[in-house]
Order: sequence, then structure tokens, then C-alpha cells
Amino acid sequence: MSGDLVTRAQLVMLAETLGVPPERIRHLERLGAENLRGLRERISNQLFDEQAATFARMSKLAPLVPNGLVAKVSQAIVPPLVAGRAAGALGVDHPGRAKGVLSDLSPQYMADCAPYLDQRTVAVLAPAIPPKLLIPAANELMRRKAYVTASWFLDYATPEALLDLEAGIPDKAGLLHTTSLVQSNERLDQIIRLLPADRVAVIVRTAIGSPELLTAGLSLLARLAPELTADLGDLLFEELDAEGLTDVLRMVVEQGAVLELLVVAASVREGALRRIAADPYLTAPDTVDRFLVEAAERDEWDGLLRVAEFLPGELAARVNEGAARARAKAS
Amino acid sequence: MRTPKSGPKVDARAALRQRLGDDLDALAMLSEQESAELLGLIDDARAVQRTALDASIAEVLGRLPRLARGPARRIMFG
Repeated sequence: MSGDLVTRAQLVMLAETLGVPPERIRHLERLGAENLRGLRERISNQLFDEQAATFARMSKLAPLVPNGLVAKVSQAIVPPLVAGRAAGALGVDHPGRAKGVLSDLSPQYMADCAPYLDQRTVAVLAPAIPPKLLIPAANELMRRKAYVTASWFLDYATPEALLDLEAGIPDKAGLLHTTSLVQSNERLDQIIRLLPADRVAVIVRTAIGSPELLTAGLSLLARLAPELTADLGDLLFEELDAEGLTDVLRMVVEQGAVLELLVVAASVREGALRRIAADPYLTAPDTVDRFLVEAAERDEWDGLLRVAEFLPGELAARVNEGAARARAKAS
Repeated sequence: MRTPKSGPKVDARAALRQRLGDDLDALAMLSEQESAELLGLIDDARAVQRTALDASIAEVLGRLPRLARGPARRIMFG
């Protein structure tokens, strides 16, 4: 459900691991997010483990080289692929020095290295790194729109670090993109519950800024626990005036995000449903038919049937009959 | 699309399973050709990583303070 963005993110991460453009492995998208993640993790682990002996020897060099020199030499001559690969192993062996080295590295270099880090070591190191050292690199990733790379940091950030990162990243639209790419729905719930409601509201409201943001926002909302979807969905629809709502619904259809809207509609409260059901674009027969087709294809009826409760009689009947036909056919 | 390297015909799916583990569900969804391509891409990534790592180690050793270079070379290369 609502996995397209997450699947694409996993494909990009696998491509980064293999060092090829995503187009080269586009045919693997059909494996789905979970399988792509499994594949990437195994390949990544193998690439790291093969170099374990080299990293262990490099680690023994550490006492010979002061932090400042590590940072200076790395940025001058070590390519991000190597620095990223080695950083985790060295950081785990010398946790006390990670802070010192990171504080001497430029945010640009840290952002360059980020896609090549060993995620297993990030999980170990993350709690020991003060967020203030990572915020400039996180902002650099936002500037580059490297949301896929940024998203897996959210997988490992401690609760304190998440709060600091949210406060330290002014690009809330970038945060929406990044959060929508978090792999696990459970982790997504944790993140949203952890952040103060007013901060989440600011992030979610950015969804109406562009078609891409709307897709990210609806994808995020559709993956949350129903009560969170309801709260944030209501908030999103409250943000829109009548014209804005029509624009959003049109964007939903054009961006192929009807399924996500239907999932959100299954949770939002009556006020939002009434407004959706009264929208002139949604109530056009072509749009209703499109929603019926999408609901049937994905067998996702709850949202559309809830909207139908507030549609004018003839249209409501059309939806209910369409749903009954599709369900009978499916069974 | 990547062309599989020439040589004796091998079962790429079996080779990939051996490389990445039998328990990976994704591997069962790959065709023989896709498995061969993926094996090739993994080998390419390994080669790129090895070359980049070797080159970086040589460069870093050259930049160390003179007194540290000898001990550092002995640690890295025995």
C-alpha cells in the first residue's frame, strides 16, 4: 500500500550501492520496497565485509594521525566512496574520535560521503554523535534534494536527535519529502508521534506547495496509523480553500495519487469528507469514474464509500453500485 | 542492459544465491539474465571500491608526517 515512493527510494539506494544510475536497474522496481531493501543490505554488507581487514589495518593507523589531519587529508584526497565506506568501521573502533573528526569536516564533504556509509555502523554510532554536528550536513542534503540519503538517517536517529534535526532544518518541505521516504511504517509512526504536533503541522502543510510535495504528503499520511492519518488529514484539508481543494484533487489524479487519497479519506473526519464530496471537480462524472476504477484496481473501497455518504444522491448511488459490482466480480 | 561476460556457462541464479545468501526472497524473483547482470554489477562495484581504496591508502600514506610514514606502511602492508 502506498509503496511507490518508498520503492523508488529503495531503488535509488540500491543503485547508489552498486554505483550505477537508477535507470540501469529500473527493471528491478517490480521487486517492491521490502525485497529491494533486503537485496541492497546484503550487497552493501558484502562490499563492506570484504574490506574489513583493510579497514582494521586503517584503524590501527588512528593513533598516528591527529583528528585535524584526518579531516584535512580526507577532504583533500580521499574520495567520498572510500571515506564513507571507511568512516563507519573507524568510527566504531574509535568512538571517542568521531565527534572530533566530524567537527572538522565540511558539511559538503559529509553530504558527499553520506550515501556510502555502512548503515550497520550508523546504527551503532548515531547515539554518540551530537546532532549539532550533523545539522549542517543534513541541510546540505536538503539543498541538494538528496532526500533518499537523508531518509535513512531518520531510521537511526535517537529521539533527541530527531527533535534537534527538525528544529535545525528550516526546509520543512524537504523534511516532508525525507520523512515520506522512511522505509518502515512503524518507524514513520514513531517519528510523527515524537515530534511536537505544531511542528508536524508545519511540515504537513507544505504538502500543498507543489504536485510532488502533495504526492509525498499523501503517501506519508496514507502510511500512518489511522488516528494519525485522521488528525493530519483533517489539518491538510483545513488548510485549503474551495479553489485550493479543487487544485489538490486535480493534482491527485494527475500525479497518480488517487489510492493514497482514498486511504486518507478512509480515516479523516466528517468535515473533510463533506468538503471533498462537495468539490465540483470530484463530482464530475469522469472523476468519479476514475476513482471507481482506482478503488477497484486496488480493492480500496473504505475511503470512497465514506466520501459517497456525502455525495448527491445520484452520484452516491453510482459509487455504491460500482463498488458492489466490483466486489461481486472480485469474489 | 549488461551483456554477461563470456566464458563457461554458469548458473547465475545459483551463484547469486551463494554470494548473497539462500534466504533472500528477492533472488527467487530474478530471472537467470537478471541474476547474471546483478552479479556483474556487484563485481564491478567491488572492483571500483578496491581500486579507490588502494589509491586512497597510497595517497594518504604519502601525506602523513614523515616520521609516521614508516610505521604506517608497516601497519598497512606488513
